[in-house]
Amino acid sequence: MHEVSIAESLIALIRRHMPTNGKLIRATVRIGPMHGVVSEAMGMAWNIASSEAGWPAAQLNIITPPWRLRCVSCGRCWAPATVDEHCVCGFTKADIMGGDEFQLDSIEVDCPVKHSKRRSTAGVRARGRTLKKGVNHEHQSSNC
Amino acid sequence: MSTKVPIVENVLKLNDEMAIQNQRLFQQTGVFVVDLIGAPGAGKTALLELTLRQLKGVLDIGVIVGDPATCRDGDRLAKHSEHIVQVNTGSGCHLDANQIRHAMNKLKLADLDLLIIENVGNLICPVSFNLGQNCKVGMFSVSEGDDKAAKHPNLVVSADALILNKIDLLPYIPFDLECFRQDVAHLNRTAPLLEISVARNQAKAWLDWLTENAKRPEHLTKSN
Repeated sequence: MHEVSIAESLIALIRRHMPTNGKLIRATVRIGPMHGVVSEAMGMAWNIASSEAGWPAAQLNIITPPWRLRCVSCGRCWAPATVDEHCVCGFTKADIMGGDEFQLDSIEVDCPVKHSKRRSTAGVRARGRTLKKGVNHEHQSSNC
Repeated sequence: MSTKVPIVENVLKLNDEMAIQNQRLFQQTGVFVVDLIGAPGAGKTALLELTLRQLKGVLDIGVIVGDPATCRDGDRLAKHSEHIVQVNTGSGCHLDANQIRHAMNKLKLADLDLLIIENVGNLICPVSFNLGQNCKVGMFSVSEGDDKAAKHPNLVVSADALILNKIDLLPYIPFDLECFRQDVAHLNRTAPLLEISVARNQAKAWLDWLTENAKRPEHLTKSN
């Protein structure tokens, strides 16, 4: 049940970026299957942690990217159903190219002040991404 | 007015910041730190008892041992070393960097060559939490079944070394050793798989690996 710790850490991280007197509407996180986070448990933990933080109506949007592997022998990239899947070439060793994501992508805030106290410059890179829940595995397999 | 603020930061960034502080203190005092992660009953404490016995006079070793409740593991290890700190996490399923910070303050780090953190028995939760360690070691045992490496990829991928304990049980328990080895190699091509039997006092592979890396930690970079 590390979801409780993760939710608490998430709240603490969000506080750093919240504008004065701002109200959190939504947080979007990207958590790959490698981290063993159960969405339902994460949702429960989030409800408790966000309520205690004074944002009882804040929503958590969890994006779960698929596993992505690259065969060490033939270089093929694919999105396996499970991470122990071997390449079609028969080789048994692969590099993990995706599925280990563990980041806070963005927050949506209702605020009287225009900008957050601290704005990550790295955040600029997130612009233009499609933050859509339930990413199609097959579609992403070619982007390995 | 609603505003979207891009962030793109690690969810556990605050823990990571504390872990970096821990790491600096470890480096300043010259102590090599291992985070030992395994399921309850894998034999972590028994392995540490053996390690403290076998490496006495070779390395000065301290242990921070995490458990939800009781001081039983700490008491067992205290028979072999004066540098033992027990941490009870209550309902917490892992140790975090802040708990390690508090625990390390109870140790004389300058007296130690090696600090082993025995994490709470769990194959999932402890893996994501950086503690400031030099390396992460994942521990499995034959009695858990041969599918556990494949079922816990995060631990296998992030480990600098993997241990398979209780190999003395191989003749008695259905366990496909080749399948287990293949699963480990599929996910992690660099970490050695150390096959041992603590019950039979056969842990040379682990002791050699530990001693070598405690003296030459610079080539271990995966955990931090």
